[in-house]
Amino acid sequence: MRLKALFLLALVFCLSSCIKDTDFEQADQITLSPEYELDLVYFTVDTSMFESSGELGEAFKVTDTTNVRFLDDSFIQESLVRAEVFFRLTNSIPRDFQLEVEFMTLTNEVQYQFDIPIAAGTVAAPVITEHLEVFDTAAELGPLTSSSRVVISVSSPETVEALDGTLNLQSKSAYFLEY
Amino acid sequence: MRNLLAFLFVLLMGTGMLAQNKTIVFGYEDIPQSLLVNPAADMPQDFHAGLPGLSQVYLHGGSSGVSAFDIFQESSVDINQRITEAIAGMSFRDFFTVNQQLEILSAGWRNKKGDYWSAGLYQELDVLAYFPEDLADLAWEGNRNYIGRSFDLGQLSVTSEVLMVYHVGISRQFNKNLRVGARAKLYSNIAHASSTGNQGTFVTTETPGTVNIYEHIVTNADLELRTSGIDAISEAGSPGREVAKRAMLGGNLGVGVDLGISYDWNRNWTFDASILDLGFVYHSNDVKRYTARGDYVLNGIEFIFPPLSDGQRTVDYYRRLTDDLDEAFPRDTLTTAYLQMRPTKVNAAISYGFGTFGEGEDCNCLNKESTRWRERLGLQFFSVIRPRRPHMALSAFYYRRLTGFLSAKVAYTVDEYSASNLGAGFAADIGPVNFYFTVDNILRYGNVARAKNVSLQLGLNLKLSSE
Repeated sequence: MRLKALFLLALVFCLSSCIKDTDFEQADQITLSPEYELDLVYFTVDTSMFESSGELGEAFKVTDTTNVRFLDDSFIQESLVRAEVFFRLTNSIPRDFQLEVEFMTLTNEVQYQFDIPIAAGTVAAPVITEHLEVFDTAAELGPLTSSSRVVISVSSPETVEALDGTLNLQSKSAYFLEY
Repeated sequence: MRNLLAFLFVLLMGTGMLAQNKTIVFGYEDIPQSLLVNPAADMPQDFHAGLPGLSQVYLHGGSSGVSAFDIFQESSVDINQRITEAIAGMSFRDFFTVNQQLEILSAGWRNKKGDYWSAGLYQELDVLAYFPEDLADLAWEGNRNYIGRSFDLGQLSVTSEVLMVYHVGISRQFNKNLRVGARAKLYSNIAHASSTGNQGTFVTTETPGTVNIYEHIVTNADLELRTSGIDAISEAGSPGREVAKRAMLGGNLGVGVDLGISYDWNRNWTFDASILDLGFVYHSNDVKRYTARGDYVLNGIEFIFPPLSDGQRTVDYYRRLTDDLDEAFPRDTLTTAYLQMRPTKVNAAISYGFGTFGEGEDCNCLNKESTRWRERLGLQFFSVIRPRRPHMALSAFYYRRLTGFLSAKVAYTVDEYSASNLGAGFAADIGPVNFYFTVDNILRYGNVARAKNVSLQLGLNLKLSSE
């Protein structure tokens, strides 16, 4: 009888403990929202690297491309709420250029494209051009996260042969995630 | 991810302090399981047997930095803000711990020489995870606001194991004042996973003059996750059967010892001490060791604008980058055996016994042959060796035999994080049946969510004496 009473006492003690003023349903509201910054591409070109392009050879251009496989990853597609791509161009060639950036699928379908005009500089006084491209709407993020390749071209409508100087590009990207 | 986080917070609520700090049971000789905390415990009975599966049920959960209430309280403040504050309030010294023990079989008997032998087996789960402050910041906030901050990869320190412990011990009175005890243990490890002793740093720097805007630098990385038994269980046709096999000496084995003493300075003052789980497990069966070592600097991708002929493929920069990463940061899966030290515990107590059992009795103790006082007041110390450092606690306790069949003990414990842990327990001998119940952190029992440390132990035994 005493044992039963003790069991009862212990049981009551266990049951009398409780969890108050808490709401574990809030777990559904937990959202991780990290912001990551990552280097993108960089290069330095001189005028000898430009080739004539176009049917009449009227433009002088350099182009290169890289896969960026993580962009169209399903996790990124679901979690990316904002992205930024930042370019810093340092031009010491006395010629204006046009930088073209294209985000493409692996099958070369252009999803998003923008241009950056680059002002002419000199070897003694290079000109720095900076550009921030922001993707924060569904209409902008959708094409970005459908891409897995970046193509960058630098072009000039006039010949750059025999000009001194270089064009340097540095870039970084920022990814704002929510999941 | 959310559910995982919620599960972890609920599971690991509390500061917990010390897994396996059985403050109440240590020195509480009315409970036969006190032999598992000090093999030199002086058993009052001549025989005991645990009720199979119910002689010792022990649960402990704790966290040194945050309680479940801190995160899940009903509040107008967004839960994510509370998590941000909790992360900011914790450091890499904080930890989460879960410990559970279930005694399957146990028995003890006094032989003709007066030694008290005991034997049995119990299952144990032990999990300890230090809070990886830097990695938590990186996961929760990213690196964008931390350019230039060095993230310490070595803060990753986790250990977990499930095992069955087979043991036999003896408690012997050497002379009038000294009692010693020892217990041999055979560990049958079911599954183990640990990642400790890691090192390395990750930093994103922005330094003028470098080829690109940032440099992402991993320096001196040396990471390892050691596991055993996990693949065998998860890939077994019958996981339950595999677990049972590994529990019954079919997995990885180890040996250990518990040692204890009880010394009476004089009629009233007693010193008790024990060292538990001084041993190791040798993992050679179903071992997987995942390692990653190296240094790497990522600047991004350098375009070289190669002159291409028609139809010529462009340079696969991305592939080059991942190949470079693999080469600089080789990852291996090894199957070589490893030794795992068990978390060794130290208990010590000094106590003062006093009080007569009944009014008008000549005897000032329950048994003239020993110093089994009605009341005992003392201080206890506990320490457990953990991957980074020993975790310690100090308790003041008061024991009292309330009636011929019922006794109780309360303890107030102070540790590095909490100075308000009041624990209590009682043991009752109803005829031959012994029942005991102990609980920690009573002050928080009204709302367990506020507790950073919760533990509970109870059990049923049969006790017999020849007298």
